[in-house]
Amino acid sequence: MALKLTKEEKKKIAIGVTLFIVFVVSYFMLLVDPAKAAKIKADDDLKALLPKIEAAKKQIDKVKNMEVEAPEIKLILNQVDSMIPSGPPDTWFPPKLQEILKSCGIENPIVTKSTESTVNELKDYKQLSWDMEIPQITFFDLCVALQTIENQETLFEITYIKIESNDLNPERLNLHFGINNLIRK
Amino acid sequence: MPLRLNLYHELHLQKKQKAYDPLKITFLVLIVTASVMAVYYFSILREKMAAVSTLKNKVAEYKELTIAETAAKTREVELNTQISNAAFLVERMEKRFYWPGFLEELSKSITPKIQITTLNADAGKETNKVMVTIEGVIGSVEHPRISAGDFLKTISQKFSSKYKKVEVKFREGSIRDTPNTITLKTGEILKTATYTLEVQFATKD
Repeated sequence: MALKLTKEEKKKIAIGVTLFIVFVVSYFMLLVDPAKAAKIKADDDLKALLPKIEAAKKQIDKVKNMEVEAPEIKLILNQVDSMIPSGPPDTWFPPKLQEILKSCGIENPIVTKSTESTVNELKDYKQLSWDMEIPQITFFDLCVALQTIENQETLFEITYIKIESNDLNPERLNLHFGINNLIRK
Repeated sequence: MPLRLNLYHELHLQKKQKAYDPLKITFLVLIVTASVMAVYYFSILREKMAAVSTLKNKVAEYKELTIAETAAKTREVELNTQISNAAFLVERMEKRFYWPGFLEELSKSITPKIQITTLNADAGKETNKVMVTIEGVIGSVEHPRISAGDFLKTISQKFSSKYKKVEVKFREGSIRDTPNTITLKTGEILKTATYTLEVQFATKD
């Protein structure tokens, strides 16, 4: 026997079905989709954050490895700094050089400061250039003097030499030479 | 045969109608659907909360690491400066040009017939290069100019054994015969010529 529905009952069914559809759509639009979207966003944010965390850890490890060498480097820099007396160079460089040359039997060299310059590769240091003059020196003493300066002062760099013979005394030479040394800025 | 009369058919129909009541069935379906939907929603909610919690923890971890990372970056710059300073200083000390060695080679090339009046040597103008100018007087019994040529060859040979890229030449027009003569201690009288010799060589490869 076919189910005979009255008009009222058909109306009620239609309203019921409509409400159901609205409920289902609202369920998805207001509950499920926002929850899913929030989860996807959280996953995406996490994906973006993980490489940053890795990079931060790598940076920290890199510096930890560099710190292993740091004491050796610090030692070199401390040794270099110990070779540079404190105070204005004008007060210690000429006497230091005069003392070295005195030990080679050379008295009263003339020391004049030439120029001051920065060294691009050394941010914490600057370079001073000096001109030296030693008149009436034998060739042997000249070689000994230069060798002694180079051996005793490893921070001193002899940049040029000029030797002129002496008309009055051919065995004696006039020596001019330039020295660069480093001081801390 | 006795007549069987079903006097309960209306009751049976009523019972059947009650059992298969559409409203009842509809409510049942709705309850089941709602339960499934609720379970599904709570499972998604659970996943979302797990993801958010993991993200929160990682954000907190990253915040802590950022402070340490910033300090590490600063320290890296410091250490790199120190390392490059130390490397440069060590290289500067080890790669200085040693003048006594140069003077020794030069002195080996000089004979009693060669006099140097001026020597200019510069190791500071160009990196890894030494430029030398030697002015002097050369003596010979017959031809001072030939002796000058021999002197150039000797200098070239001696310096080539010690340095790289040695170039030796006389300055243009610098060899000049002079009317003067030199008398050696042996009594030998030599004709003379003045010269200017230009030497350059590399201190590194």
